[in-house]
Order: sequence, then structure tokens, then C-alpha cells
Amino acid sequence: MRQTLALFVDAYRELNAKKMFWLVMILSGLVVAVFAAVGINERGIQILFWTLDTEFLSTKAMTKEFFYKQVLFVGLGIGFWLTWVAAILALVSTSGMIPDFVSGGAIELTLSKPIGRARLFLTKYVTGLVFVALQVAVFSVACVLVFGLRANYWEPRILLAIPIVVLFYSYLYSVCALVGLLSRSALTALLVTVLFWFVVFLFNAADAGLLSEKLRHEQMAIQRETRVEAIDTQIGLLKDRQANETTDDGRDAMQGRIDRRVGDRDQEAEKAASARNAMNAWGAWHHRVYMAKTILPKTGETTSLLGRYLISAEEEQEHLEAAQDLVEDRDQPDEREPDEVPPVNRRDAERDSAQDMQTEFRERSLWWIIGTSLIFEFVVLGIATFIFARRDF
Amino acid sequence: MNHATPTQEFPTIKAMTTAASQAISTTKSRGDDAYAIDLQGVHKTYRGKVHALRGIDMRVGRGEVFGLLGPNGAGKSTLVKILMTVIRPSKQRGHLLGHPVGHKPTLARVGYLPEHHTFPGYLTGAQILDFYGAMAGVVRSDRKKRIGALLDMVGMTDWADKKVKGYSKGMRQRVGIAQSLMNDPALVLLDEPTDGVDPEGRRDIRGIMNRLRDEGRTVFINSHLLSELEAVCDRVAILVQGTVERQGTIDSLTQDQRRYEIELVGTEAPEVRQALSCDGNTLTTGESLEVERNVIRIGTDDPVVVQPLVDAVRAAGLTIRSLRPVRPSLEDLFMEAVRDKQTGEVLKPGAAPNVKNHKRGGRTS
Repeated sequence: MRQTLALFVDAYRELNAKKMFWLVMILSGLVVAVFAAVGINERGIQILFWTLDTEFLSTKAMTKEFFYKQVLFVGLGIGFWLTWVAAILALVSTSGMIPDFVSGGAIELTLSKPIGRARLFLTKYVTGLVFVALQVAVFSVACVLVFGLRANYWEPRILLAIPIVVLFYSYLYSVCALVGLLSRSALTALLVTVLFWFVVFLFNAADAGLLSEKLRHEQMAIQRETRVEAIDTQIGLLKDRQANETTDDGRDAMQGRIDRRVGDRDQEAEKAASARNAMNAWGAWHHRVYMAKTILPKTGETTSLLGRYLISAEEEQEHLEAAQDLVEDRDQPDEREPDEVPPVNRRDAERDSAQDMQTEFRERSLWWIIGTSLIFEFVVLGIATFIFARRDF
Repeated sequence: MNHATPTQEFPTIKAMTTAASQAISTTKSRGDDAYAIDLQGVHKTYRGKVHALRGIDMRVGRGEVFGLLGPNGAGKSTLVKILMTVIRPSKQRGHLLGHPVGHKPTLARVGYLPEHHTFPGYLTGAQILDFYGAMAGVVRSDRKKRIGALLDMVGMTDWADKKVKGYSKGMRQRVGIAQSLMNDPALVLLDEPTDGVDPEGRRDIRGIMNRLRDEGRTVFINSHLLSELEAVCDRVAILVQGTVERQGTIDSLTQDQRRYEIELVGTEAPEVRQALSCDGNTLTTGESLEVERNVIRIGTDDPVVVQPLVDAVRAAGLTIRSLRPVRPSLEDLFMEAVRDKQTGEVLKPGAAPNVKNHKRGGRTS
């Protein structure tokens, strides 16, 4: 315990001596200051005493709580600042910790102390997370205070960001530690980690993109199949009306309408089948990407957990509906004939597929998100620890 | 953490030193408490079949100052690193303070100063001592007490709160030595402790070594500076190409090469030989005799043997300018050890070539 504490104190001293640490801390403070200056009202965003007319970011589209939680904290604070900008700066700062630790002249002294190599390496790895832990802790506490004092919105669950962001960073830092140990170069460790992160990002983007396409085609298929059923019903009605017609002309006219509807139905059925095929094709690709992602750390999903815990599915649904209402208010009125079957609505399909996608992401299990990511991390750290324990320095 | 204070472990220094010497003269095969270091058959082969160590047998008694010498690449630092678990041996049966080499808890009682060590530049001298003390398992209250005392001992009190990045090499070395003593060690391994240190600093470090010995600690020094070692070491070992070429007290190692030299005034070898009535290179009593111009060298450290020669020279009317016993220096010993027995040439630096059953035939005194 004494040695563990000494390593943590040393890590803090090392960070304290780095300008980058304090630069990121100051920038985090500025971000919180911006949060303190921003709010929403009925017209739009309010910045100090000025209001910008932004209907989609107003109390008409969302509650104030939702704005602070989702838009400011989860979206900007965590999603952009801490898990992108601050994470990159943290990598820049901490990528040298393991190479410095194992450099000639330094490692001999540490290894000669009565502490096992595995424990030594793993403790050193954990101290590398101190940078991010301190940053996110200060940022989250500041956000809780700012939201509470400014909008009387006290949300202690915001502090969940601390373990979640540290966990997210730990996935990347495990790769950084392994490469740093092998190469003994901070620059190599940084570049390889960023490259790895980019690969994970590509998989995340492919996952989202392919799933979106699959669900959109599914919604299109459902709409077209619904339309086929509606046309069939219409054809049935027309046939009934045709049977009731007393004149040949009337029956012919009805037959003409029936034939057109049958043509429409066949065309629609063909499009529905095509949409189903497309859905299956996109689905197959998505499945492959999903399987590949299983063995990779889930960086995006891990940070999204914060949104999942802070914003309920109902809140999210309410927000989507409110936003949709705003869009529909602006739409032209429906000028269709009363008996006409409604056409396929792409916007509806996209809206429904977006909801399906959110549901699917929300339903991804904690085990799949954190469990498999931790397995990846443990495997990488296991390899690094094995190398460290057996290497001659 | 197990901390044995020197006073507990070493009741009287003299008694221990005597006990160590006695123990060294006996042959024991397992780790014995009389030895601080007891190594047998230490081998290290690096990748590429580079044999850094080829079966080191070495014993260091408790309470003695032991010097390890050797040319560059002889395997000195490798041996020290094996003792400190920095390098894993290929094969060994060794003990450190009575525990097998590699036993981590034992290292809580061992201090170590590596060669070419680097300290984190963001730490002050006091923080370095605190950090490495904590890593060695020293409790906070003891660390607080020792930091001031040790910095004072190495003359770094004024620099205690200054960052190491501003230190000179000699200052870092002083802090390094203080660091190695933070855990109040029973055994201290110092790898090139005077590297980069000015003459005054060397004298101070020599004083520290003597003080450590007086406190009953075992000091193991690895150094190139033979004169430094000669001044402080009780025993030395010379490592050449991964094997112990010689080990023992300096006296015992130089025993065979001690001689007397008689220098005469204004004469030449034939006259001298005539005066001595000796044409050969051996005296009738068996000692070697060498005459070079006006200098007579007699291979003995016994003054009684020399007396008849003095009488003979004086009887022949020759004038003696000086008569002195000559003891080879550690440097002479070292240079002899690093010469190839067959060719007489100085061996090339580096590890021994990959020759099966490589053996140079070490000597123990």
C-alpha cells in the first residue's frame, strides 16, 4: 500500500510539473464558464443577457434540464470536450509515462525495490489514468455546481462521468502502455494509440451507418408492405363497388380503377421486396461489423452510457416528438383524396429508423459494452505485464 | 515490511568482520547468514548467444567492503543487476542476505545505486529520497527523519528542496548515494559511485564507505577507479570476460608479487652479479633474483632473506642508494588479470566469445 501510494503521489507530481496538465485544466474551466453563461428560453439560446432565435434549442423543443444534461454536459462537455479534445491532450501528456518509466537509468532503481514486477507495472499503468481522472472529476463537480446554482438543477448523477470517462480512457491507455513498453518511445506510443483510436472510430461509424441504413430500409419495407395491404383492401372495396354497379360502363370504369390499383399494388410489393433485400444486405454487413466490434473496446458506447443513465428513454422520446412537432408545424397540409392510400413517407421512415436506432443502442447490454471492452483491456495489459515481468533492463 | 537495523543485526563490527573472514575460509555450499552475498554458478546469456557471465562464484562476508573490478564489458553491471532483480539470470544458485537471489522482500534491506542512473527531473532531492524510501517500504515517520540526516551526510542539505534537473552530475551522485541508504540497508551495492564526482566528492564518498563499514553494513562497490577501491576495500574480485579471474584480500592477491628492490649508485649488472656471486635468476634459498643495471629485485617479502645480499653488496664496495619493499598496486594486479595468459596481450573489452567450456582459470585467495 505504501508503495502504491508513493507511485500515485509521484504520478501527481509528474503531472503537476507538466504545463499541459494545467493548460487542459484551465481550458476545462473555460468550458464550464461558457456553460455557466449559456441557457435557453422560449425564443432560443440565451448567452448572458442576449438571446439568439433558435427554435430547436428553446424551451419549446426541450426542457431546461434536458438542455443542461444532454446538450451541454453529455453532448458538448463529455462527447466533445472530455472524450475528444481533453482525451487527445491527455494522451499527449501521458504517452511518455511508461517509456520514461522503463528508460535506462530509471527502471533499475524501481525494479530493485521490494515490489513485484506485475504489481509495479499495473500500478504504474493505473497512475497514468490520474490525469484524466483529475480532469474529469474537476470538470464534473464544476458542472454540477454551475447547473445547480444557475438553473437550480441539481443532478449528482453527472458525477457518473468520472468512472465512465476514466474507463473509456483506460481502453486507449492500455494500448498506449503496451506500445510504450515495446518501443520505449512516447511518440510511437502516441501515434499508434491515436491510429488505433481512429480504427475504433471507423468501426463505430460503420456500425452506426450500416445500422441506420438497415433500419431505414426496414422502415421503408414496412411502409410499403402496409401500403400493399391498404391497396389490397382498396381493391376489395372497389371490387365490391364494381359488383354493385348496374351498368356496363360503370363496371368497366371500376375495372379500370381496379386494374390501376392492382398495378400499383404489384409495383409497391416489388419495392417492398426490394427494400427487404436491401435491409438484409445492409444487415449482413452490419452484423459483420458488429461482431468485429465485439473484440474491440467500445469507446463510443461507453461514453454514451452517461447519456443512458442521465436521460431516460421517455425523456429522449419526448424530445424527439417535440422536435418532430416543430418540423410538422411547418409542413404543408395534406391535400390527398380521402380514399387515396397514403404514399410512402421518407421522412417518417427516417424518423422511425432513428428511433429504432436509439432503441437498439440503448438495448445493447452493459456486458457487451463494458465487459468485452474490459476483456480487450485485460488481454492487452496481460501481454504488457508478461513482457515487463520477463524483460531484462 | 521487514527492517532490521544495523545495530540489531551487527552487534560488534569487529566480531562480525572476523566471523566473516573465518566463514570465507570455510567452504559452504548454501546461503549462509555469515555471507551478505553468496553466489554460485551465476550464468547469463543474452540473446544472440552473448555470454555475459560464465559461472560466477563469489562470496562477500557481512560487514566488509567488497570491490568488484573488471574491464568494460566484463559483466560487472550485469552481475549487480542480477542481484537487484533488474536482470534475470540464465542459471544461478545464489543467496543475498541469506535468501535466494530474486527474493523481493529481501531487497527491503538492500540499498542500490545503479550506474548512469537518472532521477525524474520534476522531483527535488528530498522528494527523491522520500519516493525511493517509500518504494523500499520505509514508513513515513522514518523517511522524514532519514531524509535530513542523509542529505546532510552527502552534503546536499542546501539543495534539498531544489529540483534535480538543476543538479550537476556529482550532486546527482551524492543524492543517489543518500537514496541507497534510505532503507537503512544491511547491504549496499554501489555501481560506479564516484562516477562524475570531483576529488573532494570522492574523498567524501570514501568517508561514507568507511562510515558504512563502521556501522556494520556490507558495501559492494563496482568501480573502475582502482585507487578508490584500494583505499576502502577489504576484499576485491576481478571479473574478466564473465568469469571471476581473482578474488580475495588485496594483501593475499599481491602476496606472490611482493619483492624487495635494492638500488645501487653508479654500477652495472655484471659488477652487481659478481658482487652477489650469482649468475642465475634464483637465490640459493629459492627466491627469484633479477638484476637490471643498478637495481636488484628479490622475490620475497621477508627482510631476513635480503640481509645477506646487502652484506655482499657492501662487502664488494658498492654503495646502496635505497632499499625498499615493493608491493604491487591494485592496478598492477588488475593489469595482470586482464592479460591473456598465453599471449600476454591485454584482452579486448566485451563479453567472452562463444567458446564452449570457456575457462580462464580464476584464482581465489
